[in-house]
Amino acid sequence: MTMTPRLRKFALTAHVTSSVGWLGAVLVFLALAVVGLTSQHAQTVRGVYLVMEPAARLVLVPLAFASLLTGMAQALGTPWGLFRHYWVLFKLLITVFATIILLGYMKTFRIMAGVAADPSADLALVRNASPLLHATLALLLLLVTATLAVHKPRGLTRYGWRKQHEQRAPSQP
Amino acid sequence: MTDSPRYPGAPRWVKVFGIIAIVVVLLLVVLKLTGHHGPGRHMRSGDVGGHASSSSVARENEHDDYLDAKAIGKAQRKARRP
Repeated sequence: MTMTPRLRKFALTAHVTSSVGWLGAVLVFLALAVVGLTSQHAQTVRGVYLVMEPAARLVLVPLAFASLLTGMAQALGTPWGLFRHYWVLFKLLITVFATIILLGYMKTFRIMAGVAADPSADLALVRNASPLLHATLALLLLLVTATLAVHKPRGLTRYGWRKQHEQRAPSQP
Repeated sequence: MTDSPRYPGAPRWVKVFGIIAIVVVLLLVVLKLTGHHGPGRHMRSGDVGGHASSSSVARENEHDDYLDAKAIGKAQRKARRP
């Protein structure tokens, strides 16, 4: 299935927007994580861990799924395909992996928000280095996918090689 | 009739990426199996860099106790409801 040029441009715009938006949102979480660990104001520290859960649910998760789905549509609707080129396959695997980790991490966000919402909980219990670690790793993964998308390094999968040969074969005498 | 050309194999960058991916996944599996990773099992503050001090381990236990106490309290309130 090949998309029309207009639809292809729309899908590409949606994919770039959602992917870059996801990367930007992760940067904001990185900043929040640093503020949560370093701020001297108790209310600011509690506020950071309280806001992370709804922000992740309303921004990170939708952007992750939007990036994944628009990327798949973009690959399947163009000659690139989903499993023909290694760079596309790696992007898909990294995005699926990051989305699964994010969905699993939502429970941690809820636990941290629960501790932060309890006024009797000590501030040392509220502070948590885990979001800093996870946001850093997420940022690295998303930078790898962005680099792959821009450079598109050569390399056909075995399936892509076979398909390419099948397409060329009928045109040969 | 000509034979189809042989598949040249994956480029070097793919092999490097593949090895890194396998190492990362194995590391995560080991951490998960040993109970050092997962929701609510993360490092506390001051552990950046992966060096858990005795005080941070104590805080980790304290945090787990806190969560256990909260869960027990919630269950007790639920049980008291008519």
